[in-house]
Amino acid sequence: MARTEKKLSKQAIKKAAWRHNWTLQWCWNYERMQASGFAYSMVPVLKELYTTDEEVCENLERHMQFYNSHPGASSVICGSVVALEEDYQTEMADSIKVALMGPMAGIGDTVQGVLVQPLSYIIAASLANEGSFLALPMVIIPLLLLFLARWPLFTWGYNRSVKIIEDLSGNSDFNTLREAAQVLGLTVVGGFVPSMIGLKFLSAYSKEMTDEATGEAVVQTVSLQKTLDGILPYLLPICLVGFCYWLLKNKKMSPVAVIGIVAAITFVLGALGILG
Amino acid sequence: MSNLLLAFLLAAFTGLMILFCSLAISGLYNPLVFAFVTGLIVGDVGLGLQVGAACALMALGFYTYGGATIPDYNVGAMFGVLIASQSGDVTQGIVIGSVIALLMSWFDILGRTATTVFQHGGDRALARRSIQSFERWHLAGTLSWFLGRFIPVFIGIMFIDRYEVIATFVQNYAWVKNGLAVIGKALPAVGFALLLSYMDIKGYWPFLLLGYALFAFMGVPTLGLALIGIAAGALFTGKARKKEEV
Repeated sequence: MARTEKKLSKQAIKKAAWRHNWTLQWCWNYERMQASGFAYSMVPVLKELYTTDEEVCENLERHMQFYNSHPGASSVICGSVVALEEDYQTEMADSIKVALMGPMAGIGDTVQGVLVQPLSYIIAASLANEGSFLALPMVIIPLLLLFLARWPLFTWGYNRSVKIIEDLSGNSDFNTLREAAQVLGLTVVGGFVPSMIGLKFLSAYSKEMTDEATGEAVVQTVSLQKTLDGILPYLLPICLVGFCYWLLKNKKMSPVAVIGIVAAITFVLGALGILG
Repeated sequence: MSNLLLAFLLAAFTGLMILFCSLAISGLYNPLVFAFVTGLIVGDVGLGLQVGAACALMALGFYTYGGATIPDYNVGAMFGVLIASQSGDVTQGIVIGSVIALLMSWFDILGRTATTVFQHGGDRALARRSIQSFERWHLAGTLSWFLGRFIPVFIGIMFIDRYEVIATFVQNYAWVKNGLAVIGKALPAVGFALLLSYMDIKGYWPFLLLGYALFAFMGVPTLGLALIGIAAGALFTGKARKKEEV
């Protein structure tokens, strides 16, 4: 399947990448999700490959099938589809979309949703809490870099054409990345749960004790929070997160339901002056 | 600034943000950016950062897997700053902001559904063999997304004066105020738990413990935790060791 001839102008390929990377989701809908965006990206390419509007539209209709992937990782797919269209391997182009949109969504969602986005949010939030303006670049730059990576990803997909499937399935780098993401993510979350959730017990209990030296009765106040801190610091935030985790994971509750439950419980405890 | 102008500017800002910073550059549509910009407008950037940080933590675990609708803590942060600056009470802003974030998800669903009309327009254009018309229909999909944010934000800000009723009520009853303050502190727990539910705790629990111990007993700050996490990740996956062998 060697590339026989290069039919497409550099201009058309550039336009396809630009359209894909900016507008893929501009017509996103529940019915066929990114379909219209993918077809729109293929217009500059198909216009150069086919002479009549009839042919171009016929081929665009092929691209109006259901499509949904991670918008960044989808660049690889779009690049390789452009290369396949250039060779008129239309069936291969259609099947590579179906075959790769799921796996690429998995990769993109892990990199963005588990690694880059939460970590930059956490670190930026702690900077913002200290009143630092660095919070802004901290949250903007990592996500901007992720966006800019779409262009090299597209070129990679285009250069490898159908071989991209071998590249992706034989590649162990992604598993390494996924592992490193878990390690980094859990370390940071482990430290941030106690530092970011400032919940404390306000209640104290008083106890009458006899002063051993003088024999007089004294009232000693013991703070519940101090007692708990003696057992394990930040026990309250940990228990709260654990409770939410249990509701989400074991009880399979929706996040909105969990928000409702947590809000109701903590409102009552706050209004009663137990928590603060 | 008149209320009408403020409502128009912030509604247009939100609409443009969803197109360029959520659908295009995904992830830049975030609470810190919204709160910072709103903070600039009300003339209190410190307040903006404070509300933004709280909303960013609440939004933590929420991610649009497969196009899922999630609470819009970005619009929530914007209203949070407006309300906090009006009432002078930050936690009130954060709590009301998070309620607005939940309400906004209905408009998200509406916007995502209405776009279907534009896709069908694209189908018809292709059937007519008109490439140009197809391209226009695709770009017109932005209208649905833009208005899905513009309309609710515009209306919300036009009526923001009505909020005074709630603010006075809260101020008169200390227990309501205390309750709201605790909700504000507790809600980030849901964000953390949601993020953890996507992670493999069974396989990697020692690192959760490590992070906790580093902060709780040694007081390691933010960036320190991240750096230790990167080092641990490199060691654990054997990347650092392999380099030495080569």
